[in-house]
Amino acid sequence: MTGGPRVRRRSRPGGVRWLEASEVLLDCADVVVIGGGATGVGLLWDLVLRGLDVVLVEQAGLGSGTSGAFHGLLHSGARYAGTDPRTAAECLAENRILRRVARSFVKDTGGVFVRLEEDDPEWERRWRDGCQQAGLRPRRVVAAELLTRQPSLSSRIAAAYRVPDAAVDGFGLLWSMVWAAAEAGARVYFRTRVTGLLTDEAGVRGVRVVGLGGREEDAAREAAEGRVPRVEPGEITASVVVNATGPWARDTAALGGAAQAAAVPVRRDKGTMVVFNSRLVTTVVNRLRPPGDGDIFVPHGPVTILGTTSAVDDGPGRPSPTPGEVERILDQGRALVPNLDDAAPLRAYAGVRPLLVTAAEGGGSPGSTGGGVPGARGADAAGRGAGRGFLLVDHGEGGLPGLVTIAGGKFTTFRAMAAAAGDLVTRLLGKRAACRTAEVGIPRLGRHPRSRPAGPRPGPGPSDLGGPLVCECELVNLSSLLSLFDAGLGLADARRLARVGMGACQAVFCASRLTAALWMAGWPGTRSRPRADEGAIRAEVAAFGEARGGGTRVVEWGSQARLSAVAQALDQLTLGRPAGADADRGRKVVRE
Amino acid sequence: MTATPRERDYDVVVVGAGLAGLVAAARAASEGARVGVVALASGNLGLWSGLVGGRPAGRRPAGTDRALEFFLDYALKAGLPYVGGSPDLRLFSPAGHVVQAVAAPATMAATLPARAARRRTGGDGRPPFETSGAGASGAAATAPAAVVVGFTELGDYPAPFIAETAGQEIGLRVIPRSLSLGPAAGRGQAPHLARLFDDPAWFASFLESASRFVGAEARSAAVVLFPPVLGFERFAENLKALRDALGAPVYELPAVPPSVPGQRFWRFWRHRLEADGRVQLHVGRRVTATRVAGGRCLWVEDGVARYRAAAYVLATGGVAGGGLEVDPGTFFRLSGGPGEGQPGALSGSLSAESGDEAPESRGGPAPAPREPLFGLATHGKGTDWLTWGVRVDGEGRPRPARPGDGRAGSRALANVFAAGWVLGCGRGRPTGAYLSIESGHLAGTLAAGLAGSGPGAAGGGARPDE
Repeated sequence: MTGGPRVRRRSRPGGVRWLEASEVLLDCADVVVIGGGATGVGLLWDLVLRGLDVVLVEQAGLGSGTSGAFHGLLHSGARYAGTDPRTAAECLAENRILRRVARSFVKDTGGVFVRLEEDDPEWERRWRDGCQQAGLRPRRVVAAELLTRQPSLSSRIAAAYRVPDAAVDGFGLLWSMVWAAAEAGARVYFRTRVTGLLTDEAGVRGVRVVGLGGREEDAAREAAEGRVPRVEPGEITASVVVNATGPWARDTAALGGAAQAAAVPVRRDKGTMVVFNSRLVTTVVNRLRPPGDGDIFVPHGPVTILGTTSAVDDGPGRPSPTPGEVERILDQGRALVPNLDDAAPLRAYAGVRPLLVTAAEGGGSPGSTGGGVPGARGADAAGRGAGRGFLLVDHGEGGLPGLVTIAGGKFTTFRAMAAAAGDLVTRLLGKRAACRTAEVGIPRLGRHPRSRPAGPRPGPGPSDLGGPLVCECELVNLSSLLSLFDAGLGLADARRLARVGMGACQAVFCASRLTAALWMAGWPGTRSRPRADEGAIRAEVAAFGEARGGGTRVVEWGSQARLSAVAQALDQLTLGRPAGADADRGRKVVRE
Repeated sequence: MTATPRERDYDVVVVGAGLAGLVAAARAASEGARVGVVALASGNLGLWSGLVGGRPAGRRPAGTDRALEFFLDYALKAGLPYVGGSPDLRLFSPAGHVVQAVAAPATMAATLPARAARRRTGGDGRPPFETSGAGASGAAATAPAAVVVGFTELGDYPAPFIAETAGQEIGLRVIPRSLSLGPAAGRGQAPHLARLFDDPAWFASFLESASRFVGAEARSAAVVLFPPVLGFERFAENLKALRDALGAPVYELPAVPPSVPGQRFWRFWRHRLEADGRVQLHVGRRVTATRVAGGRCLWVEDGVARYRAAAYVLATGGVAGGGLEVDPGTFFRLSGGPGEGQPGALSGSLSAESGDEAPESRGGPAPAPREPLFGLATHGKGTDWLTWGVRVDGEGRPRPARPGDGRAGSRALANVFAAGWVLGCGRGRPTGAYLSIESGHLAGTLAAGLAGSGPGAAGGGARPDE
């Protein structure tokens, strides 16, 4: 973290904010990044460190797609050793870098691979060969010793190996990069949808955008239904536009025409995970067998995440976990942790992976492919079937200069993806600036009270130690929550950043306090410009509860069922809300 | 290992001491029965706002609701007077909305200011409001109709928000006033504040500052509303002192959990029941075994004692109270189906370890099979845990899990009655506190009748349930 990022300060102050539906945004920059997931934010940070002027637009909230619904696992690469040693090697390299530059976001839990007696010993040999190729040196662990440290594991262990897996705080990491970039002059707009590309004879020269305003859930739903607000679109002009929209990269590339979409052979793959309310294990536990549905346990703070399933996702919008998937995960998980049913599941969630498709599967695209692009490390993974490698496309080779797509990959390799894309972008701009993300540390939000971007800084500062608690499960106090709202963020963002409502009560008991906090913040305005609106506040709290409910309903048994019944009683009997459409809508998800 | 537990004999045993259990015990005792209450804790009373709502429209002609009359009468005897009956009350909910309530604690029974009330039409004997004399147009703009007082330390009670909502609901000016209680408020938990208000010395100093900071607006307001934390014991005195000091009608507003009025109810009713002499409460005990034979319950046991009675009241609560359990696996069949659940997907806690075999092998390696004893039904659209409950016949006796299992008619056990949320609520049925009062009253009446101590099981309180 020597000296922090050395960047040119722009005259225009950087910042993070929403775009309201009534706003017409006019901005210009060197680069526009579309997509506020790990790839987009990683690229934002990468380009800012190279001294470029960057704008990032995201239609929902930060990390609200794939990066907000992953396993929270910083891979050592061992997971892929048996199937894809090249991805494994990439993960290992990135694992080492992130442990250095993002140290405060990585919880070094370590990891083990466990082969149970019923698992194929042949796979173990293949896996060890793969590890060898990838440069991993898994250390063999004596089963009895492992069991003394991890007593909840099955005693039917045939072999176990230690690997450098770790848990990673994805939300904290993304937020910190965004705020560090904003401090250095970058602009980040949420609730902002790209409706088209600005083009001239030289190619792409920017994007057309509209503000969606309102709630993140609505923005996502409207996007899924293809609805666009009828307002005068704003424009952001830039020399290079980067499409970093992950699983939706193909749709975004389609803004440049069918040929460009065909150059981005990405498909969506749904994964479901279950969160348990206790630390079942203290280290990441993988099952040593061909990757399956419920075979990774990741301890995260007070909870454990078990997953994950894999299925083609062809629906629009965000996927929801289904009871069948949860049942499958639990069935598989019980093999590794026999007493799994003693732990109460808090909720389930689902995310989508961007998988690269083989040429055959992709339908023989006539446009350009990523194969010829220099610097596209891992691009040939597309030729090996649905892989976890990544794809870098310079659409200039397919007739649309100025547009770049970076897709595929995984959270662990986001920095490498950003580095590759950053190299290409810098070259397209005709500049010389080397990637510095492997050397510059990412400052943790709230621990570096230096100059602040426009608006108050989120996160607990030294003066925020007092104040009443709003969320008692995750110990979030009122003043830190208010400072988040002052920064123009909503409850969904506050959840990711401060973990509001993610604890044992799942926002059942703190809903009234969140309502009060929004009121005090003058929501949807800020404390300095209050315009408190009761309807908007209720809608925000209701959307927050609904988003939580979608994940809790599929694990409603035991104590979770009791909690749901209490929540219903509070809503219907105490607060006098009718048994409304919300509950019914949530249930329909379950029946699908 | 199988030492014979102490035997206790009653006329009626009530399992559970939430609202339904306490009402059933009070009712059975008033019918002359000797009653034993076995309960783990105070049920969901700590979550209860204190309001009695949920009587379906047209359920009872006003003034003939015996369950409610009994409840109001016993509450008065217990020293925790309730107001209600006829007509229904209009009160603010904890969120500031206007809700209908069948009854409310006297501390909350404010008459809400309304435009009609401003025209000095005192409806049911209550005094009309003192609107500060001036014409309605000029005064209404300045004098608030109501003042919502909040404590900044009490985070669960957002006074500005409540006032805003309330003002929109009644179309009059409602203003918030926030007081800070200082370090004495601790972390601002409602029970902590209630204990603070029980301290006369502290309250005296509070009263002085309250009249200084709220006094001006209060004197011109039709009603002044405080958070429901004005003491566990001394709330009536405190309220009176506040009314005198502020010169205005002062009431409490209902609030979200942890709720002091619900805990007051537990204290006062428990003391009254124990003072009765006919009721013994065994709190902190979980029923772990039952003996069922010949279509009757013979005894229940909690590991300390074995309780025998002529009749039993199952007031164990619904899913929220832990009286009904939801198992993984079975849940998926519940929700995945077309809307109707399968019997046995939820298991009543009384049935959890019971059956026709005596569970003498308790503690052995094999747990007793979780054979459901009672049938279950959903009274709503099948989408909501509150709507799930045991199916009962017209007298509140649970029906068997499988049709045809009952040895006498359609009931599972001849001497077991169910009351409260274990019955489940739903559209067109009583919900919430009213469900507990009505079904607790019915179960208490019938159980006492079965024990031969009351006027008979064919009491007029019976109602067809399904």
